[in-house]
Amino acid sequence: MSVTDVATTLGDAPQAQSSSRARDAEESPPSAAATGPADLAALDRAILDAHAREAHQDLAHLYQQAGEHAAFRGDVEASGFLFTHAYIFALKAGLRAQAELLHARLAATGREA
Amino acid sequence: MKPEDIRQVKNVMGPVTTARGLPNAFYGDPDVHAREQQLVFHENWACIGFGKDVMEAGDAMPVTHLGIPLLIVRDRDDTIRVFQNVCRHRGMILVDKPTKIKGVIACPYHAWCYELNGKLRATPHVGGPGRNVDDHIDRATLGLIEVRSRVWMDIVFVNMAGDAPTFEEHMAPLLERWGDFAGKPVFHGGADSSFTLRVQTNWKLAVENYCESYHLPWVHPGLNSYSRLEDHYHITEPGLYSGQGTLVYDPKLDDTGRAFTNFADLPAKWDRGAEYISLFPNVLLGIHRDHFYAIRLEPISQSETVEHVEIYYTDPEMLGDDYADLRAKNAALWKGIFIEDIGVVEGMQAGRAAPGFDGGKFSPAMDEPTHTFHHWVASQFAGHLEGASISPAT
Repeated sequence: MSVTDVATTLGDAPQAQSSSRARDAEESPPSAAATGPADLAALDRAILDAHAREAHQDLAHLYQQAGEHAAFRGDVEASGFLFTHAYIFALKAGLRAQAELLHARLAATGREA
Repeated sequence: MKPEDIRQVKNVMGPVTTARGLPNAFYGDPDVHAREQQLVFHENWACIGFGKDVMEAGDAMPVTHLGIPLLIVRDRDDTIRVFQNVCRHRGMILVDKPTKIKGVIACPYHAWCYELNGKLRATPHVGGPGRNVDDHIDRATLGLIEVRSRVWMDIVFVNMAGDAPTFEEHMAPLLERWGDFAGKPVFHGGADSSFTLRVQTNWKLAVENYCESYHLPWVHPGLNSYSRLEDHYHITEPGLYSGQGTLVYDPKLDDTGRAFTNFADLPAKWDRGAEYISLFPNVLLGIHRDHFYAIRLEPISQSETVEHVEIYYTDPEMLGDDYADLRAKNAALWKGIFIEDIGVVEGMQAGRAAPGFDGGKFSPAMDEPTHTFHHWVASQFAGHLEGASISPAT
């Protein structure tokens, strides 16, 4: 799956979400239930922008948000994919607490050792 | 290697009074250079860089040694390790430029992630999308390939073959010789204490020139007024190093009498003593009571070498702005001397295209350190020359 497929994985909708807002997500993650289709398009754009900037910390948070959306929809496969990306970028960025949390979630579904 | 070259190599092994130097093929033949990379560098402890290249935890420095991509990494606990700079998955280069690793070393291809200690931490999607485990992927057996390494005086050594004697055993004679400096940290002077020289010569000629004092009055006439030839002595340790020492080291970098701090608790012999040693194969060292330097010789080809010069001091205070002018003068002094040497090492390289040159006749009185090095190189080829029977190094 490529980066440009993220919107598909996210679902059919997106809405705006800034990367600075994403940076705060580890402490106060946004409510997936409150996020509608318009948010997901913006989230997709934010992810692409963060990739262009090689902003690993932002990517960890943004992919986690995307994973939360997928989980909320009950799309276990998509959330596994997106949480994996969030986990890898958290590892790369040295975000230990977030990485441990994501590892635990992935491990709980047999997706991590 | 031609039969006459093999005969000449055997001639190197004789006593300095009758020996000839290494044959021309050792300086200009790419095939001999390739064998030398294996027998001289791969099998022994060789320098690949410096701890100062990975100054802080998480710093990673890629280097190429013998054509092999390596990665020098400083872990969070300050341990420096060397790995083959390649992902265990598809062989992708992991780090292609000096990098500060915040978390893990992630392969840019499929994002397999490694801890700074080399352990494989994550294998994203390895079992299919979103599945990061697979029964056939045992992370415990797929860590980075570590290279046997050791850091001494901030110099990073590796033994690629992995079966040389331990570094401590190998270095014992030098550790004993310079025991007065044991356990005393050195501090790199920073950007103004680091420079490189690209020289059109075989790396061995840089070693040979460095280890003897015979050339000083001719190539470095500026030394004659304060560091005469008769003030020097030879240093030889067959199988490990050779060099020269001086009895009149007396730096005057500042008219006001400012000076660098000396290493603590040195015996009196170092008040005016300093030593310059070629540590085989590729490190040139200079030790003084107030500073230390090391030069890594990086062979680019059989006829080109890069000299990486790094100067260290005894005290962190010497790294501050108050000493910037003294550091600059000290670096300029050494750089000037090393540049003076370029003409002769490049001239000797060019001279080795002369087919009648037989390796050269040594001066028994003045060339013993050079012969010690030639003997060591020749001994590394012992048993690897067709039809040759070479006695072990003495």
